[in-house]
Amino acid sequence: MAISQRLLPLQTARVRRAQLPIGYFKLGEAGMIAGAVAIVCILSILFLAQTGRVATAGYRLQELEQQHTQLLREAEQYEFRIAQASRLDSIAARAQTLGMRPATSEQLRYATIELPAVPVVASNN
Amino acid sequence: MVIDAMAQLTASRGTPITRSRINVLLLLVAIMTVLLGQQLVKVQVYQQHKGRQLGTMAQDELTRHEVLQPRRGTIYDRNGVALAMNVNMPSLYVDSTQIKEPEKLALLLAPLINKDPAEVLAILSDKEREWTRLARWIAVDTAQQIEKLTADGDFGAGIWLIPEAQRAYPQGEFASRIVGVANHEGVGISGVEAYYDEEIKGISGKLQAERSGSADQQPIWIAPKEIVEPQDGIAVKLTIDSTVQKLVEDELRRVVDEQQAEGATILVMDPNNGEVLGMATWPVYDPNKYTDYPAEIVNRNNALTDVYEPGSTMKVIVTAIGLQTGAFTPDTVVHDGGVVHRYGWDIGNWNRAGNGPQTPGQMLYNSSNVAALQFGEMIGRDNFYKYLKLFGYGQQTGIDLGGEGEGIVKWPEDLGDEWTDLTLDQNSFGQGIAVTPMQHVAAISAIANGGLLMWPHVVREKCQGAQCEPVKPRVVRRVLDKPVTDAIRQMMTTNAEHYANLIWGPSTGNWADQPLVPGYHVSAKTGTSQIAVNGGYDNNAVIGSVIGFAPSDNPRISILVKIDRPKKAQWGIEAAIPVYQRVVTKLMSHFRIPPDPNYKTEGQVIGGPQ
Repeated sequence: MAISQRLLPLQTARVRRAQLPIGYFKLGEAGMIAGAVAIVCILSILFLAQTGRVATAGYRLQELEQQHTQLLREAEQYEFRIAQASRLDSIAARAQTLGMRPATSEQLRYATIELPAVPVVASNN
Repeated sequence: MVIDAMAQLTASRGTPITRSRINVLLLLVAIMTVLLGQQLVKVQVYQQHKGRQLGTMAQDELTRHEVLQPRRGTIYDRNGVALAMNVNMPSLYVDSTQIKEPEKLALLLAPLINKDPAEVLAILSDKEREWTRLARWIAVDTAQQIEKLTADGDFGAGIWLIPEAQRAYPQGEFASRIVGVANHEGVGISGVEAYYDEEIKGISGKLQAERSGSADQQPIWIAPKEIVEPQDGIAVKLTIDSTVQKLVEDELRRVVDEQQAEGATILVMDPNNGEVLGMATWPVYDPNKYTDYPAEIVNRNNALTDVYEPGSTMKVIVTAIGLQTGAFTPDTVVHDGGVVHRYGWDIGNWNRAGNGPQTPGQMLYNSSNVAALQFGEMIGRDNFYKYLKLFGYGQQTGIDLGGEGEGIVKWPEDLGDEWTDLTLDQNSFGQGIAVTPMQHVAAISAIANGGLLMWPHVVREKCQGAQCEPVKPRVVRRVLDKPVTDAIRQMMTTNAEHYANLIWGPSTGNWADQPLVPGYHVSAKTGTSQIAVNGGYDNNAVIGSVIGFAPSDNPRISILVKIDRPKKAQWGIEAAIPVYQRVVTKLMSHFRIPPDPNYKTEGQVIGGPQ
């Protein structure tokens, strides 16, 4: 058969669709309900999966926050202990247990260091 | 049709239903339908129930509103040692309804939480109490013991250790009068805690989120939540040097103990920038147990609030005013006959003995009231009070601590005709005027630094996170010219040598003038003040004080020592001078100021006596 007319794809589809029996593409009521249910199910599963992931991440985040709080509390405790240990009374007592004692005035020695009058310049030689 | 059907049905069952009955039934159904409809419209359209929006009620039911508390800022000394900080300490809560064997538990718990077993048992046995705090902020090791005690569940499930934020002062009594205290609600009530409360406490945040049904009602993370993060309070770094503070506190305890004094104050300030390096006042308190002390101890800092007559220490200020105004020169001479008669009163020296011709320097050396009075008269009323004001007397210094007093000055402009020239005469030797220790040390610092009155302050740096902003020193005003301060420093150095025999005489046998602090030229002026009571003076008690600075030629510290009502020393200076000498000696070493090895006499030791 000789090609007398070139048809565009859309035009071809429209022609072919016109040739199909009426109701070819129509779903019956049962089909529509089943389709709707399927779509709803898919969307629900997607939503639940998403929500579950968010919830899991949320609880993990919550756990981490609690852990963070707990660590902060522990850090505070250590800071408190450090501050207590920094008491000069405690340090003096500890020094005494190590056999140290304050220097007496007779033990003090002052050294006079004569600084050079001219700044010393470093030499490469 | 329905009615007919019902009629047929009833007829078939043999129970006759009349039409009228059916109509009544229908009417009731209709009324109920209308009422339900109305309610439906009300709920669905107007969403009201008992005047409240249903949506809001539902949201409230689901939503958790929480105030997020900010962290109160830490207070450090100038070297970064924490003086006040936050720490979560466990508190012990009990639900008496779930407690088993309360008698045994009470006996075991009571010694751990320092309570009477009977008191603990009463709480544990009271089945009406579902939630009682048995002990607040217990030590961590004690909490661990309680955890072990209750771990096996023998005493039931009603015992909880819950962390609660506590403002803690790890150094205890140390520097407590400066740091102050924040009460159990986290509000600063004294010291730096109170003065900087707004900045230290921070700004609360809030959390709004759907909550879970679990006991802890944690937020549900899949629901959108609104969080306004709290803004933590600033951390402040004080000007206080812990070594200086420890030194003055130790000396304070020592002198109060030795002299059985009723009170004492030692202030150390950097005269060049107004930083308070050490401030100790007696009595002291432990801010961790502030409720155990009277409010007048916790809420006041005697170095700022208490006023006293400065006595002879005021003569330094009088000399400075006279030289600055040109009323007299260092060579001006007045005659001290021991007693002068003014306005119907005899005014004399402490021993009523005359010192003869007196220059301003000799007046300070001999602490002559008669000469000081005459120099005061030379200055005259207007200049005298003008300069008292410039020195900061009779007004707050503006130090960044609360509760500061103003002192008492009888200003001529305030008293009008009631002011008499006798007031000027009395003020010239430190009577009839009252100052706070802080005012006085700030004034002497102006002499030490060359004439600038500096703003005294205790906070050196404010930090928000890692960003710190220094508190800049502030010059309040220039009061004196440098030549005047140089002259005064020379006089005060001679004065200090005059007091040295009190320290060195017993050990060296040398009772002549000599270096007070061997190796260092220091400045000092003593004062023995009478204590004003009921319009007169207490004849049985005095206040001994010393003001000064060191080293004289380039002062690094200005100091005030004040001993209230010493019992052992007849003259207050006998109590105050040894304290001054020891504090200066140790501070010269602490600040690594090299001594002049030749500035000492035979028998004197640099760094001694201790």
